[in-house]
Amino acid sequence: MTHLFLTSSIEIQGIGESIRNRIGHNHALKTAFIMTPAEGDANQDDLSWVDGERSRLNANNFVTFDYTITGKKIDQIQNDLKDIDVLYVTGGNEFYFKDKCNQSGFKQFVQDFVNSGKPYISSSAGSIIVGHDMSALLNLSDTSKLPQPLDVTGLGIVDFTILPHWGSDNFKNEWLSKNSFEYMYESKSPLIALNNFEYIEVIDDQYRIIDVRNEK
Amino acid sequence: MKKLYLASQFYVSGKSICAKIPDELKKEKAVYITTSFKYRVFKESELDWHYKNRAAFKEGGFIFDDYDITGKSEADIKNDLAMYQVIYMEGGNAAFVLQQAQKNNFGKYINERVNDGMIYISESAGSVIAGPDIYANSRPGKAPGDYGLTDTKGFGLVNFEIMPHWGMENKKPDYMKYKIPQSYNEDFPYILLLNNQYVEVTDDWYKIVEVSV
Repeated sequence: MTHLFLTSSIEIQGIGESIRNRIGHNHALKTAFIMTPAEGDANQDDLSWVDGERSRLNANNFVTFDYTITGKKIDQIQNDLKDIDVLYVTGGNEFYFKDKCNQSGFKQFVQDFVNSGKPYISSSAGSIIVGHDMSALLNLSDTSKLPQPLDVTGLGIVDFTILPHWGSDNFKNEWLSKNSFEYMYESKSPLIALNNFEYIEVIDDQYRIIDVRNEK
Repeated sequence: MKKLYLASQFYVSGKSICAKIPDELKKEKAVYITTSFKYRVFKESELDWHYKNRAAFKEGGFIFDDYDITGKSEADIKNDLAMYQVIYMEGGNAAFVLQQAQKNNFGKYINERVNDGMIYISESAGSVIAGPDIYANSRPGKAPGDYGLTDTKGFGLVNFEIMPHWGMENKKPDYMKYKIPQSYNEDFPYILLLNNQYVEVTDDWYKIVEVSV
């Protein structure tokens, strides 16, 4: 059984608590906090949101340790992460992260981990990358420094693509721009526009969207 | 068990949907709700899509009766639809269907029936109205205000809104000018669905199925 929790932002109050309730753990879960997507974020001067993601996980008994796949090979990654209970991938730049996945062979690790039935949890870029096709997101992340031709394929674990932070003021100009619209409208992948209060729980090939405002 | 098949364009994905419905249910008559395209008089040539949908439903093995909820009372709805275990909601105009449904509590009736196991199949406007609110999918001529609607709540059969015909060139201007800006809210999830995709719902779980064309 595969089990994924795909959020726009786990920083939002209630998301981490809801995921914890669904996993039902009452003991600490060793959680690899993959922060590689954040390394590619355009605004490196303010990464306070990464701290926010980590804090929400820790507050819900996901005991994190920071980890990057940058510069690593698959053998080292498999060894370093061999005894984790949960794999968490941060927000940031999904195209940068895919490039690092390609360099390290991390895709195979994620697929094996997910197929083992252990939980995969993610925010934003970490949620986008589990789809097949990320081309709808091309206007939202800086790809200018990445190798060309750009790899816009995801890890292919789910059959839809998430449009995260939908409806939020912070991303309004980007999402409602003509460029974004054109990329989205060309996408052949089913697109799910997900606001910050929702997350998708995936079990095998079925999923549901949970709005934590309805759980209070 | 709640079961819905929410299509973008039924005649494209209908074969896949119909193959999932048990034969014993197909042997009983289904009801085909036609209200959604009764908001104005069409020339026959404008209803090509509707005839293709009917053909796909028939080829899928269904025997069905047409039904228009316009002008029916709440008691009529309960009485007339009691025998059916499968309902098909045609595409067309969600605002017009909602206007008619608000007059006879059709939405409440369908909600109860679907929760009791009636299978709900739909395309386009019929899929839109199954969600929590039709507003984002409106455009001039098919807007809530055109039908005097102040309440745009849909039937609430699912907790997401489908945006049908995504990627179609002839729908692009409306999506860019109206539907995407209108959907940009922190209210519900929006699923942007191509014509060869549909959402299969089982209770509160679902999956998006893609059909090869």
